[in-house]
Amino acid sequence: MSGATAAAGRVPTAEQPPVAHRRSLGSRIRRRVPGIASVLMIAFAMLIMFGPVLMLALFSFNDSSIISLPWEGFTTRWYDEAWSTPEARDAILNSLVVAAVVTAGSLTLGTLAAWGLTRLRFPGRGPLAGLHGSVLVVPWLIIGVAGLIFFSESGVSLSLTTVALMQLVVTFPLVVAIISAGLVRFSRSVEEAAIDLGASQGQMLRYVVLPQIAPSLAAAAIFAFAWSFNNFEVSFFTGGFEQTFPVWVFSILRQSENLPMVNAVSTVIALAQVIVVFAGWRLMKRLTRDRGGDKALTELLTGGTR
Amino acid sequence: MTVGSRPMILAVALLAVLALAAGCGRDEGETAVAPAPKDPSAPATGTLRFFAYGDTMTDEMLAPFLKANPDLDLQKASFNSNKAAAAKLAGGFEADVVELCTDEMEPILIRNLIRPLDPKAVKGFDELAFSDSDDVRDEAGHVLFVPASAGPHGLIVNTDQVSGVDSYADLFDPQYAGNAALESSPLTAIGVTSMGIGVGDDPMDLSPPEIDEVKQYLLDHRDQFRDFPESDASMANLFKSGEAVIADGGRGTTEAMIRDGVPAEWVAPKEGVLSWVCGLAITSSAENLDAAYKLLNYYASPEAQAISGEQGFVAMTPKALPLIPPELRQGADPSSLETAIPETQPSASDLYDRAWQEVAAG
Repeated sequence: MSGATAAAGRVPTAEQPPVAHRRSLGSRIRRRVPGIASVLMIAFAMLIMFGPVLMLALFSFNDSSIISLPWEGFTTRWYDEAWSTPEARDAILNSLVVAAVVTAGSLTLGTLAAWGLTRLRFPGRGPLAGLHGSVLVVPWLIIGVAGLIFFSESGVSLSLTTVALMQLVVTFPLVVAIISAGLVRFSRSVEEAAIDLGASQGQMLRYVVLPQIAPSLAAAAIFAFAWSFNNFEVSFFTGGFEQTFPVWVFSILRQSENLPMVNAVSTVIALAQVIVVFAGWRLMKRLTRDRGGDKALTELLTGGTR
Repeated sequence: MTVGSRPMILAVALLAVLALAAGCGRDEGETAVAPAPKDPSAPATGTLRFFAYGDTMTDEMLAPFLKANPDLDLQKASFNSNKAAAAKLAGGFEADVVELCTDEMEPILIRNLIRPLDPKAVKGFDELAFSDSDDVRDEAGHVLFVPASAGPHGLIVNTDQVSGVDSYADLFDPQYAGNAALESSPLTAIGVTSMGIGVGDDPMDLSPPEIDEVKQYLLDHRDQFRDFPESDASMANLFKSGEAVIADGGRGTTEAMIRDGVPAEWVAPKEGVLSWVCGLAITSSAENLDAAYKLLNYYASPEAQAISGEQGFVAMTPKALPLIPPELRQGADPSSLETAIPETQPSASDLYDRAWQEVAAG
């Protein structure tokens, strides 16, 4: 078939409907299968990931101490109960303080370590990088007990300070990994170009490096905060007589009647974590002056490593 | 009302950690009987470090104690199992008073993390449920802890669907096939079944062949069970949804179901009632012994046991009953524990664990 004939064949006439209209139903379904499959897969993944959290939130409003259907009526009494439990308030406050300190500390130390590992050349750089990463594969239970023994032998009283210090040990390597990935992705020649064009070291860091690694910093901050806030093993073993939220939850779950209150508190925390991610996204957009919201969010969630 | 067995992997990990802590932790502390206070009536002073389950040391429970001892600085730390507590204590964490439960206290005893106490220094000790039990004493007859809470474990039935039940054997009645449940705890599951089918004399200390026989019976009747719930919350879910109509379980779990409108009843089987027992002990690293005895005395008092009874536990002394609201007295009555068999860690506990793993895995 010549090109002219083929072109003529694509022109709709009264006797011959357009090609798209002539496609069989099977063909049309086949064309749509990948799209439908994608939607179904995403829906399935979302259900697996967020279904339990949504159920938890739903049952925190159920007027029953048994976490099961049928629905017994709407209530906010579990939230009232949680709010009026001093141990719950203290535990959440302790976890927030520890997580804030750990996040700030691990971001500072992690960024410095990542910069050194990716930008400096020195003997033993490989083994040192491996040493940083090795902590990530040691179970937190072991790290917690090691910390307990270390503090005990050193004569240091266990407190929220010791919890924060040991959480820094387990969180800092994660921050190093995320920020290193962002720095490796960012070409060093851009920094050199900024210096060649007259920028000071400070200007280069502020206007060139920071916007580029902002997604990594934001992602690292969110992961560090979440790791610290949710950590049980390290907090349990290195904590003293002030307990963090996960330690408090584990200690009261012996009685099933405490479950709805834990559900209520956990719902608030899950909501707060969503807000933190959203705030991180907004902050990153401002830092990078990126108007593409989707891109900014994706970079935030992937730590700028995509 | 204890939550069922923890995931095996966590238990193994904690044992490994305990071994690590035992190898590297502090030296063993004092193991002689803790001397009684010279002036028992004097209010406690200084600092008292209390290490227990979170629901044992609620503000409501401790308020009268703190009011009576205004100059005492009470510090609280909580754990979620005696294995975890043992690992932390063995690693160097120091406390004055620790909570023990008879079914899981072995890791604490092996490491000598507690010291015996003087029962004469605890007012009303002899009136407490289980105070005469061998399980609260060491081999030399020294008292290890003051029983402070307990909960009977028998049968839970749906009163709309089940009647005339009085034996653990009813769990295996074909008319309840597919609608029975067994708590996923090696100790109670194997123990309850052994009593139901008449194997062995002591459900908490079966011999290896007896454990094997119980395991085989459970494997042969596995289809009888809808599920093996890991916690009393899961058990309540099964009853509320109607999936289970008969199960083994605690009276506290049943009462929680009833409060939620589930048509349930707790039955004491004719073979005997099991009971978890928890109490307070003085640690081998305790520094403020006078305050520790003060706390033990408080938990043994009718006032504290009345608060415990109001919180859904069994009061350990009958003197607490008049202080408990009438509608809660039946559930808190310690007479139900008079013939109860304490849940204790068997000498062949690893065989119990392995047998139950095989049954649960099918």
